[in-house]
Amino acid sequence: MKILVVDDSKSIRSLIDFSLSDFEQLEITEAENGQVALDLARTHDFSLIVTDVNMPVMGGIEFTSKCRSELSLTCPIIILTTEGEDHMKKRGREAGANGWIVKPFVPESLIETIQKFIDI
Amino acid sequence: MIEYKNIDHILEIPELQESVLLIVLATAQIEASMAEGEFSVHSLIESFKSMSSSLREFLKVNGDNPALKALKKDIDSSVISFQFYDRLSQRLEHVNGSLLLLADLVSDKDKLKDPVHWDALKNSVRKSYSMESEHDLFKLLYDDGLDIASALRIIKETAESSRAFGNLEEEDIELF
Repeated sequence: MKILVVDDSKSIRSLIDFSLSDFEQLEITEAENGQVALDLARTHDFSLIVTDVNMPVMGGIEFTSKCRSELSLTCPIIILTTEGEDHMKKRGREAGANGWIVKPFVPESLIETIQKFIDI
Repeated sequence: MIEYKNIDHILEIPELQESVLLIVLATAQIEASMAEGEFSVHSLIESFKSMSSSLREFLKVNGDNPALKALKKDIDSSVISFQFYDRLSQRLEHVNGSLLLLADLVSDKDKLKDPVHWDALKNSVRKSYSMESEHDLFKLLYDDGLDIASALRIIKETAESSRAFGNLEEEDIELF
């Protein structure tokens, strides 16, 4: 089962990978911005995507929107960000995201949220 | 990486030129520190990952050992602590961006005395923020007119009861 993790912070990508390391069936792919992630999403079949919002080149909201409109992806997209304001969550929802988690995240909560969408 | 355009067109006022150079120097120092910090923190995270992986193997054969279980829990909780470094990096990145915008403005004699450009700068700084505490601090200083010490005290009091300081009861998770 493949999960795409999109964040410009290498540390955060590693921490998400770390948090999910108990699930040996998961194959984590990392991307440092929305554009790289979009290119990966064109050629890979991801079961779920976790993305940050504020990133260089292409942010998470635009990436989510393009996943839905350009690639017609139906996999769950969870936004994981320091942004906690309602208007940002609204933008995420309108772009097609399925969930919103404000950092710092608790590993157990991230896992529980992911488990609401995919069977791991 | 934030880039500063150039300062060749700087004003003929030496004090201003020095000020701009000092601002640019400060931003370079911040960026250098962030790069060093990122490397160190990443190495530390990789070490924790490795320890966690080894521990997982131990737990497969000795799953009831309470000491091993407690150690695994401690290592897992480090994930939360490490994220504070990411918040720090983001905040510094925003400070850097603001300083560069300021340097750009004061090095242009037309923009320097035009209130429209100062308002635009203020708006750009505000828009660059992604964390609630950054917005709060901006509001306290600019909109409410508080002095720095009072504003920081309020921010600190708010932060101490928030998730940023380890109060993880107020998790912010929404499903759409």
